[in-house]
Amino acid sequence: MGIKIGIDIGSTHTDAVALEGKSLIAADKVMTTPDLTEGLINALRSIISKLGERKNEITSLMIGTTHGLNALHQARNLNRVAIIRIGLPAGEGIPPTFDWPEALERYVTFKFMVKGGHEYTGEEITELDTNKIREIAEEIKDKVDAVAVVSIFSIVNRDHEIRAMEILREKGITTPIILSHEIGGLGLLERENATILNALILNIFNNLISKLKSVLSSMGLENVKIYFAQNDGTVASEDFIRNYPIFTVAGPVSNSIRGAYLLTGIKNAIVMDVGGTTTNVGVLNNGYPRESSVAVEIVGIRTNFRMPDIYTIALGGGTIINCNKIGPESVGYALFDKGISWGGNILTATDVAMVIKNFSLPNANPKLVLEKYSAEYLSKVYENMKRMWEDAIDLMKTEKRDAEVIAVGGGSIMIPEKMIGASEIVVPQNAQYANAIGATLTKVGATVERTFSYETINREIAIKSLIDEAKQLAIRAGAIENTVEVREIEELQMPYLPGNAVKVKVKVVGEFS
Amino acid sequence: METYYIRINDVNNLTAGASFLGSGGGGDPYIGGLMLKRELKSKGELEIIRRPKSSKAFVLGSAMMGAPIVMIEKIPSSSEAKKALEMYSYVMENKTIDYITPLEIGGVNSTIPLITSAKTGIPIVDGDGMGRAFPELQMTTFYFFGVSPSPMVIFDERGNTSVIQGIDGYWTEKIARIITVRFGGSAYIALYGMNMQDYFKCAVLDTLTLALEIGELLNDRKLDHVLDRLKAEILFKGKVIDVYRKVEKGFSKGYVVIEGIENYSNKTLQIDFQNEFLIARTNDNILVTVPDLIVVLDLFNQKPITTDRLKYGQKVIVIGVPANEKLRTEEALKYIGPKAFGYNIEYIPIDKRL
Repeated sequence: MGIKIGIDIGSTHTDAVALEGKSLIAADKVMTTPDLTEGLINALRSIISKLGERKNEITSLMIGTTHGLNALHQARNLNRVAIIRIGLPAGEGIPPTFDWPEALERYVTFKFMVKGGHEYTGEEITELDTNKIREIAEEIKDKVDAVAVVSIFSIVNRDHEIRAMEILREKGITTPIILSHEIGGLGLLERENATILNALILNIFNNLISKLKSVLSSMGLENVKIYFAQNDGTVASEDFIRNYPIFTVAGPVSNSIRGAYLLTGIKNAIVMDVGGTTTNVGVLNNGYPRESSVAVEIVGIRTNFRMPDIYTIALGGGTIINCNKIGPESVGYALFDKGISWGGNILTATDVAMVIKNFSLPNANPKLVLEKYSAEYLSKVYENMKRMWEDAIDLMKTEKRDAEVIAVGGGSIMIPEKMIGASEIVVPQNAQYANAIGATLTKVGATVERTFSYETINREIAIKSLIDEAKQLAIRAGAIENTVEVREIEELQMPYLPGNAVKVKVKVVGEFS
Repeated sequence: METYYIRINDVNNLTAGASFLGSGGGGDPYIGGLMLKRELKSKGELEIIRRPKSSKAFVLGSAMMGAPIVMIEKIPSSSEAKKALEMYSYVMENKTIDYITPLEIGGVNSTIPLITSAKTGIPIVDGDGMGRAFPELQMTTFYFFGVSPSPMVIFDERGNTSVIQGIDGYWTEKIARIITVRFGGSAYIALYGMNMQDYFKCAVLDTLTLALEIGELLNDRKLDHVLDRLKAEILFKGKVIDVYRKVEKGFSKGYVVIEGIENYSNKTLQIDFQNEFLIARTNDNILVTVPDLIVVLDLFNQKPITTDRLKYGQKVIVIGVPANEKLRTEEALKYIGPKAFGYNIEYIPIDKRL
């Protein structure tokens, strides 16, 4: 059956699990390091050493990481990117990277706007200026690390993006070329931004993958396949992620939601991932994280690719309680030094919860809390914590009736047994490893979004073509062909437009090869 | 003050104010705001003329028509605006255009005329034809006072132009709508040419500076000042518990149900919308109807929520704003009163209802 390793990089801890089938055979936690990679490698070495001789049974390694986000935040060691926007004379009103933070904008070393692009109907705005693309190829050759190509309404008709790539290749451009229709949905600037961000972090992932491979092969595990957690709660193979690293930026957050399903079997619920400094509240929708419907800002840049719908509140295990003020500061991983129950002098959310819920963590003495604070005060604080969680549940619910709530993460033990808005509160076994387990047991997934006018294309044909495309993408991402199935088809009619214009999104999932 | 200068740092105030005055519709001014920032980045500032002196000066309306959803993908080139004005001038036997006016202060069309002004150097007047947002181009105070939208020039980014001479506002709207679709779903328009004397009679005045002012107050979270400034009332506070939507004849129609909190607990409010909010009512009591403005703000950040962004769970403040008197005349109500939107309800001004 083989052993799967899952590693999830959190803000304070990096968790590693080893699973045989669905059962957890080993687990470990190490400190997250500022570069993320070192902590990841430490966790990998540690979990492998725990397996001893059984390490040779490892078949695959799944990783949930924020390497992408980290690199963009730090704006260091990014690729030099050329952006080619196809659409002139339209689009000229806002040039590419307008309004970007300077630290990132300086990596976008070439910016072009070229004639071409399409209407929402799929007709050309104008013919693609192929000569201009040839000129651009001459100009950027050997001067950039990656090229991002975006064309107006490429989500309806991708011809110009593909043609531009062909010309660039003919003219000897060998760097990666990222096409926007493979990255994002409707909204030119948001899709363009996401495509450029993706191009900026290609090398970061190339380096990470090389590093992981060399570590694995140094331990005689060169056949272990590497997968990365994606924003939608699925995973994709390393050679797919090499081209689409931006799909991993919210991987860890989605893992916890997916993990909540895999640990409980509950398909529709509110998931609360209680960490050291925050609680991330998301929604399980048919076994996967619900997607955000609004533009998501990443490092101050508007994007529109698939991201989980998450509401974050500053309430976690290490949250500092000061009189009646709860957070937002947190002692984070220093909880076991600074919390009152551990002999420290800072009252934390965990201290309060241990007294009120009457439980104790390793090496803790909750009685120390009662020596300093009255039970009445503590229960008032806990009531307020409860209200914060309840408000978050209410905000994420989609209908009036109570929802099932699953609590995961290291701080899930603090969650009250009853809350307003929750029909039932489930804290599964191994809840603190939900992220890593989520990454390990999930499926390979792919999503495709297009816009059609059902007046010009038959609905069945349109949807079928999209399913085929999504399936091909899933196979590229590492899925076994005959296991790929449709997970969701979403059709959204676009207001104000005639011709029955519809946005269609198809998601497929499959088993690992 | 005769002239107001708008600079790049004012744009976020303008778009916040324009979203507020959009009464739930008018299109997200995000794209228009970015285009305007780009112009102001190179130009530094633009003049908004409060009270032009010459009554014979000629003023022309400038806007974009079509689907906001197209505009977020097919971003305008911004040079179309200039060409549309040149074509208008040509059609009118080389008429000199002295001023540009917005048609619609609510939503994205607050920004477009300023971009036109930046591109042409023609100053903009401080007023518009709606004082809010409406879905069709005959729904302007200009039209209610007898100014014709025709001749109207409609222009796409390729340079295709049509000139429409409709027999009335409805026909002009109908023809322009079809051309817009053929242009790819969005188009620049120049229309409602008139002299300044007529403009003062029929325009809703001072709305650009109003949008800037209330946008600034909103961004500073001074909602009380906004209410004072507009003589507006808080109608309701609560949580969205139901949103119903359908697309009908190209319009996004539906209603939202809000369950009261604080002083409003045990009450529910329903607001019907058709692109913009139309009618707000509790059980059997009608609180506000079009043309008065209904504005829904996020309770926490006080940002306006458009009808397409409503969803379950949002905590909101609902505000009623009296419409300008020029929207409340008998003639105006024929086009923009509750009956014009299919409701068998008499218009009673919000100040008389509450």
